[in-house]
Amino acid sequence: MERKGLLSIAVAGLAAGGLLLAGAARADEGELGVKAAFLYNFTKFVEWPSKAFPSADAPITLCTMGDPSVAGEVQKVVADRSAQNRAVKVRAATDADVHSCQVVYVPDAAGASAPAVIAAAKTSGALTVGESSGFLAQGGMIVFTKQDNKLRFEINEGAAKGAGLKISSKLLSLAKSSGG
Amino acid sequence: MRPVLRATAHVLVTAAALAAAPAFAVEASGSDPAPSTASLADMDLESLMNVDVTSVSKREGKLATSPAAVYVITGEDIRRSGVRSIPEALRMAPGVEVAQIDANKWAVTIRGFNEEFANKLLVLMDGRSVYTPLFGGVYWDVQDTMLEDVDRIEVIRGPGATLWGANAVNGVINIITKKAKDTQGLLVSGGYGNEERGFGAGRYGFAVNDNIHVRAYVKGFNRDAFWDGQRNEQGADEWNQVRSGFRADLDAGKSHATVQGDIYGGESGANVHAITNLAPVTLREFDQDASVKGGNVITRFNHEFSETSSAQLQLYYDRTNRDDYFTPEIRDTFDVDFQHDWTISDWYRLLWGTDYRYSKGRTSSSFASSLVDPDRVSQFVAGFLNNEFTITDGLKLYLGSMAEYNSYTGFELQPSGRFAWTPNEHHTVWGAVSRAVRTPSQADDDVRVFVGTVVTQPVTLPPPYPPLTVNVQAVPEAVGQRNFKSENEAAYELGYRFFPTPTLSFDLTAYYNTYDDLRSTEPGSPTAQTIQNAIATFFSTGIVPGIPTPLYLENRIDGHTYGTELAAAWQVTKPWKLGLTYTFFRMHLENDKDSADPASVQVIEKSSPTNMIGLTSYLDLPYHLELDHSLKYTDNLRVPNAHVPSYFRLDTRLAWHPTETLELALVGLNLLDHRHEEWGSSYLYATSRVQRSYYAQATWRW
Repeated sequence: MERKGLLSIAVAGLAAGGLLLAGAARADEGELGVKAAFLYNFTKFVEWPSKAFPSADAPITLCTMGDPSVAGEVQKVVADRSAQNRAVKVRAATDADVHSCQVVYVPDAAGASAPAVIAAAKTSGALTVGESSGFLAQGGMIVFTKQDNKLRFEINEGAAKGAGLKISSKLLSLAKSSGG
Repeated sequence: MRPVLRATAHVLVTAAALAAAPAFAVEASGSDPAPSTASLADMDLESLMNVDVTSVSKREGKLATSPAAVYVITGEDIRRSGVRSIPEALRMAPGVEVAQIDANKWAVTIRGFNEEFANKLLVLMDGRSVYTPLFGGVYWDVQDTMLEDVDRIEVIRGPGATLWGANAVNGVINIITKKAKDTQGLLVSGGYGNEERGFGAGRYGFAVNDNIHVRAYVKGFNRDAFWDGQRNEQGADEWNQVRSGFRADLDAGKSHATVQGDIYGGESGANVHAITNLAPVTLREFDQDASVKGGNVITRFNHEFSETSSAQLQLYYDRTNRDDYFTPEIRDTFDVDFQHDWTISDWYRLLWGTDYRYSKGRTSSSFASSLVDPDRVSQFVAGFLNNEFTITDGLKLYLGSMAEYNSYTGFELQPSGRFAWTPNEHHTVWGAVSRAVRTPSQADDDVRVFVGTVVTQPVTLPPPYPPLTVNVQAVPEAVGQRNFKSENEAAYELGYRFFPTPTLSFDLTAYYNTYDDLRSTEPGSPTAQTIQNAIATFFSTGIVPGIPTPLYLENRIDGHTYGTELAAAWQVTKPWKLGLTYTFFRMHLENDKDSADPASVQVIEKSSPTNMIGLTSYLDLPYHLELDHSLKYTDNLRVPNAHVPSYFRLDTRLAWHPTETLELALVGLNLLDHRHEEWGSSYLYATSRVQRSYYAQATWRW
């Protein structure tokens, strides 16, 4: 009897729950999709120096380093959104053309270009976002971390200031203390 | 109908009834739709920080094109399965045979040859081998860590000898813990149940500075005994253990260093079956708690010389101290391992490395068991070279070999050739031909152990006695032989992975393995010395003693195995994921012409199930609830005199996250029957029936 009762509950839960939610949601977009949403959100909480933009209505260009397909995935999430009255455009960048970006995302796999990106960002006034360990120590501004399968980020406020960027207190308060 | 079948029929009927009422179910829907790609960008940062991202997809990307049968059990899988130990977690992977012998012992293997000391499977924890050279196999009761800190368990089926060395004959299991950086903050967890008589764990992770992250943990558990089916009463296999450990990671740009270690202590109970006297022959069954303790420390350095060249140096020390009845042992192992990964051109990548291991066990003997050299040192030095050629964009060829020199058989060469062809993101085809060896264990060379059975048989007196034939009690004794050779395998594998949509994946593998020089136990005659001793005992005590009759360990079995394994995963909707595994296995062994081994072929052939099926479901429900199920089927084992019927297992977990930091879970394991057998017999211990188990658990993260 005991067995029967338990099973019925278990199976009922499984079947009903499955039907209940079937069709309600779409495919899992994975970690990169969530990171893209973070990147887009960051653009709302950063004040760039005026030198960072070629004109008053120029778009915010969000660049990704390394594998060009990363830009495609980020673009799927950002789509045609805007922030701070500027359109947000996504493109893949290389060390050579990174100076015209306002946000530069350096995925772990492209960690080797971090020093070049950080150096360029200092003069062009771009927000640098990385994920390799030591990115902040190298002079990067924001780094993604993971805690119990959830994304977190840490901020190196000094590096941002050094490039003339102002990061809003809201973003700073959500950032994990970088322990330093 | 047997109870198990009846219960299963009930599952199917109930499921069908519910499936027929979708209108009701849809009506009841009140949950928030999960975010789609397009709406992700509209979520605010606080919400984004609550989205689960497992790094599986990233890893699956690499796994998808790998030229071997790899399955990854993630930390998330462990959490949602509700299992409380590493061997139990291994049931989730296809191709892995897991049979629980008693509450603290498991027989675990891949692709056949299962036994308590299954010796053709290599197991590593964070790069530290836990395969004991004493018997060749793994003491599963002491392989543990904080389960919340396990990042993943990589299960590689098929020979991995070219990269991992000897004894990776039919598979390699890598248990990998998270980086300290990914386990920051406080985690406290505890629970209680009918079999889980209290468990608890605490971990704290912190950052020393931007570059150094540290964590430390302590855990403990107390498990109830299972049911002793032979005596028909509660068994003697209680199990308790306390364990503590730490990990520190230093990330300094292109250099990384890790230091980690664990210590543990506990008791693993058993009902021991042992011959404790020969005059008269006494087979005693008594309860004994083996005291187990040990510790290890690992240091690992990685350096990236350039984008195309990186190296790793790893050193570890490991001590195990096991005070069980048969072979109490204190073992010290020291290992140093170096690897260099070098991409020399667009089409050529070289991976090479060397490994040296020194392992010394100091054993004591019991009446039933001893080793000729109780303090034997096992050593090997090995080097490997693996060449990866990119022929075209999607086609890679891998040629390599391990060469090792060990203190048992000398020089061993274990080459392999592999290919992987990925024409596009939807398909990968791979294949491999490999050679692997199982090198002798200390026991194969040196053991003398009474195998716990007694038979009456005629013995003819040797000279100088008159040729009289008398009936005596013969006590079979397994006797290791110094000329024991390595067991050889040649393996042929083919695999296909298919990703029709981003939410659906299939991984199919087929293999054919041939073996020669497998271990046999060749019956011998009692030696003249044995009989003289027996006669002397008779004259001095008046008791007719038992006569030890040797079973010599030799290499006189050949054979082949073949099988297929399937793993499929389907993300039905964002909150509902289904998994399916299927394993088919066949084995055919033969005694060599000069072999008189009457039993081994039958026992080995029948110790593996022909079919295994696993079905899992992970479901996220509204109100922060999770409902997870796992249903598994295992075929019968027709081992002579130790038949195990087929069985189903159903595990269910219901969890609730009332706040972001708290998780409350109710778990039921083995729900389908009161108790069932998974392993037929052991000649050293009573086996137990696995009982139904419930527990409640609370986990708090801060």
